[in-house]
Amino acid sequence: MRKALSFVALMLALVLTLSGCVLRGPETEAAGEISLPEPDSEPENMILGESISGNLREVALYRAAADFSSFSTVNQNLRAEVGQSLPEAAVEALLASGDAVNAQEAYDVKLLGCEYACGTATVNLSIDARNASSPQALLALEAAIGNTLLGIKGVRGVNVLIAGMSEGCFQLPVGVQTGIVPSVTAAYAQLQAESDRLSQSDAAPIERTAMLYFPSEGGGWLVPELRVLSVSGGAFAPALIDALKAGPRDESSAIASIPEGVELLEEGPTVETLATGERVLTLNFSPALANYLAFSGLEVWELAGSITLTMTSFLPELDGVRVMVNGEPITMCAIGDTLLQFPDGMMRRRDFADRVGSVATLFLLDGADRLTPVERAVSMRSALSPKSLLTELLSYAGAEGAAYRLPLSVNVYAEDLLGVQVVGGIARVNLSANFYRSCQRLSPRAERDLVYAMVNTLCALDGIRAVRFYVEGRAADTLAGSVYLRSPLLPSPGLVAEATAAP
Amino acid sequence: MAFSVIGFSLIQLVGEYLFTQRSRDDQRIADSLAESFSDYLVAFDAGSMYESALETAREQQSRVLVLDALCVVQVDTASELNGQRFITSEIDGVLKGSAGAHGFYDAGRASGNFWFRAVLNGFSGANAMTGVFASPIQSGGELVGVLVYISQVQEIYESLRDLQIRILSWMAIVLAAVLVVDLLVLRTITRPIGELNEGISRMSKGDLSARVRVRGNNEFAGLARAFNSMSERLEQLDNSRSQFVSNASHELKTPLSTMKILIETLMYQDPMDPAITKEFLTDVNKEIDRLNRIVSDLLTLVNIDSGVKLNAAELDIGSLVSEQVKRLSPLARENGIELDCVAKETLEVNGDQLKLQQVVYNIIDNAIKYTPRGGEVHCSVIRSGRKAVIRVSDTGVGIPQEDLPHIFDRFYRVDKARSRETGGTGLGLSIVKQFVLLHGGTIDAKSAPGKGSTFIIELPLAEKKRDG
Ligand SMILES: Nc1ncnc2c1ncn2[C@@H]1O[C@H](COP(=O)(O)OP(=O)(O)O)[C@@H](O)[C@H]1O
Ligand SMILES: [Mg+2]
Repeated sequence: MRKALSFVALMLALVLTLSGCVLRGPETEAAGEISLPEPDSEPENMILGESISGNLREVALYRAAADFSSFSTVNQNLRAEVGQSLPEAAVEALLASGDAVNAQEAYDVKLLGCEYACGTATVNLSIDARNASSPQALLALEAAIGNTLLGIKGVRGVNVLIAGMSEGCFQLPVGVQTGIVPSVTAAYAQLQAESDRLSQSDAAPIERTAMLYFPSEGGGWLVPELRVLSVSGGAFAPALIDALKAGPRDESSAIASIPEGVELLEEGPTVETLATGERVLTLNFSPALANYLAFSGLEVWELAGSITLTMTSFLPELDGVRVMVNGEPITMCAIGDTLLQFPDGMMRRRDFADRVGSVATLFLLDGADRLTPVERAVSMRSALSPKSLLTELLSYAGAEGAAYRLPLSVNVYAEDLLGVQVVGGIARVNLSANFYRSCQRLSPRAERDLVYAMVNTLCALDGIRAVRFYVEGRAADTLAGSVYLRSPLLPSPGLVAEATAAP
Repeated sequence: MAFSVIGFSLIQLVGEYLFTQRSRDDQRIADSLAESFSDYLVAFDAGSMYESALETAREQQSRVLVLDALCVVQVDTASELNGQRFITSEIDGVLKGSAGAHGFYDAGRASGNFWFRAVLNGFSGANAMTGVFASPIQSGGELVGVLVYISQVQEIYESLRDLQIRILSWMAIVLAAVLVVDLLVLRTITRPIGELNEGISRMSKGDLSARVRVRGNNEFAGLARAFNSMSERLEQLDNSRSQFVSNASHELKTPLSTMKILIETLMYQDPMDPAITKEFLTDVNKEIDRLNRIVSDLLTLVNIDSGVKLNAAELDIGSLVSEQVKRLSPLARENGIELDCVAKETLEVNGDQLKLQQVVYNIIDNAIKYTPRGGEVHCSVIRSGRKAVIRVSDTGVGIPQEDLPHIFDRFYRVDKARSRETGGTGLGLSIVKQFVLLHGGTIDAKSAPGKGSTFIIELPLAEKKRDG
């Protein structure tokens, strides 16, 4: 019996020993010396100001066939200069090769301006465009521009104006082009059918995409937004007013320009032709609008600009808009220090064209200290400029208690951003010694958030895919010890909280 | 022992197999990701890498890191290490030119830098096994980065542990079984043998009452039973032997003391009537005769006990019985008893003539002795199947039912006085029985007290005669 017991004990001991061995598993401890690779030494590169180079893009330029039934394309490598958008460069390229627009008629159309904001392009052509030999030819020119620009990444809608006016077809608004037009012949036939239909009573509504302009949330800018309208009986102006009342889809960056409760006093606002031959739309609002302007903080120019830009960008051949409150026309308004005067209340598109702003995505810490994309209205130029965006970002430095902030000391200013150079998709950001010093006490988490706020913001820009940081022109290991800066950093899409989608 | 060794090499083997299999699968995933990421990494396409890595990470419950050539984490499916430099021995191996390296870590026990531990812990929780796979990302033959694939191997580890527990429990069961078998063997073999041994040694010391406990129904139980019946038999024999000795000495003593009294009387009674003297001497003579009979009967029995040899020959049992009846006829006449015999057939038996004569004589003698005057004794010899049946019935005193089983015992007499009177020794029937048994026959007695007794002897007929 004792023998049996000792046997059992022996077995148990064996079992435990062996089990110990097996349970330890195939773990391998890191053995030997492991060293991180050393970066190559770099010469000092003092980047100042802003420069973009080596950002060539291939764009397909459209050209209508002689019978307008189809388009052919020619690919061309284009480069947007600093402050210039790629759509603008593309329209310039398209117009430069005159016959690329229309095979039969080479006529001298100039580009007066190209507003590129919030994924929409508004192309303003010189009056020469009217010299087209036929309505189809003009339509072909517009479609060639639309098709070309819609082929560019990020472009969702194209509105072509001639001398600041929408051209229209058969007296009908053509609206914003949002899809490739394969054949002008077919498009023309459809417009004709719609026009015929409109003359009949109780016709089916007509669908058009309009460009609405809303005052930006922080003020200062009018940001465009595409909206599909369904309009019955040709009442386009009231439909646009209703859309402006409804407000922008994303209320974080823009607001409605016309408040609820404000009505048009005349049911069907009409376009009248002045003695000068100019066409003007008169909109007479109820007195409530005056109260609203007095107390809401909405500036007069924002209301006037929003209405003027929206109407002239859509209604055909409209020279201006007259906005009245209870029969009193608005004849002047101030934009900052600038006073705008409107003789006879006539507001033109060009009065507000330079207030068209865009929306940029900045990455900032939210109240829960999570990196979040935040939509902010900026000038169209800033929206394209990495340095401007970083400057905008730095304005949130140290804003403790604010809804959004950057984990950085308040004594960092725009001057601490010495320069940005974009080369081959990499933005090289040159920070000042002051900036570097301000970062020394950051926690690893805050350091990561700061760096990636900049990286993600810059990489949201077209043409920037990575960011490389320098301090006073020299390569630095880290700002505060953990994020390594001698490599170009790729954006971290996962580091941010669920994005609030921009329109 | 061999079992446990096999068990553990099995676990080791299965474990190795599972880990190698898993390593191969995971390394393959890492390699294919590395290959597909090479263009993305060169083009700084973080979005595509992140999407694709995230998909893999979700599908495989793993974590994917993309490191550039300087070991800076550019993509992390957990979005935690971006911008950090990260290195492990596996990554180091890939940087030094290996085509892929992997290692397994226990997150709870891993050593290494803070971030490394954070990766393991944050990913799979403490004390979870984690596999780290590194694969080079190459472009145009140049190393542009390292793909790190971190997979949870906890489930393998757990299934291994499961297997281990199962083997352990099997071993425990086997151990228990061994123990039980051991106990059973102890109960069924060792202990019975020990008890038997003890019984035998007790017996050899003279204790014939020794018995062994019988357990179950196996060979050992049979052995114990045989031992028990043997010792019972021995005890019986021993008992009857001492009984016999005491009986015999008593029987021998009785005539001797009678003789001693008679002789002393003759010796010390001087003036003795010669008639009485003669009577006395006649009595002494009678006692001597009696002693003689007893001693010769005893001798006969002793001869039987020590294995007497039959002087076997074929003889006709019918004529043998007739002869004895003729021999005893004078005695019967003297006692006023009618004696007859019916033996028509010739029945050959193989036997010892003298002994069979003694058997028949004793039986008929008894019948005459225990039948009062005027009674009858009938003898018959008939054939019954393969046997010759000798039947001797009388009309005598009979034998009480309670005495019937004992009449063949030595010195047993129903009525001692009457037996003595008739000169019986009490040994006659036991001799008869021994002789009949020696001949392969049987003897049986039936009796109704007061009416008479019948003794039936059956003897096998000689084979030869029947064949012939
Ligand atoms: N035929 C018989 N009738 C009655 N009793 C008998 C008969 N044969 C035997 N016995 C009884 O059996 C006893 C044993 O017989 P036995 O062994 O021959 O001894 P013995 O004749 O010397 O007394 C006798 O004492 C007697 O009591
Ligand atoms: Mg007798």
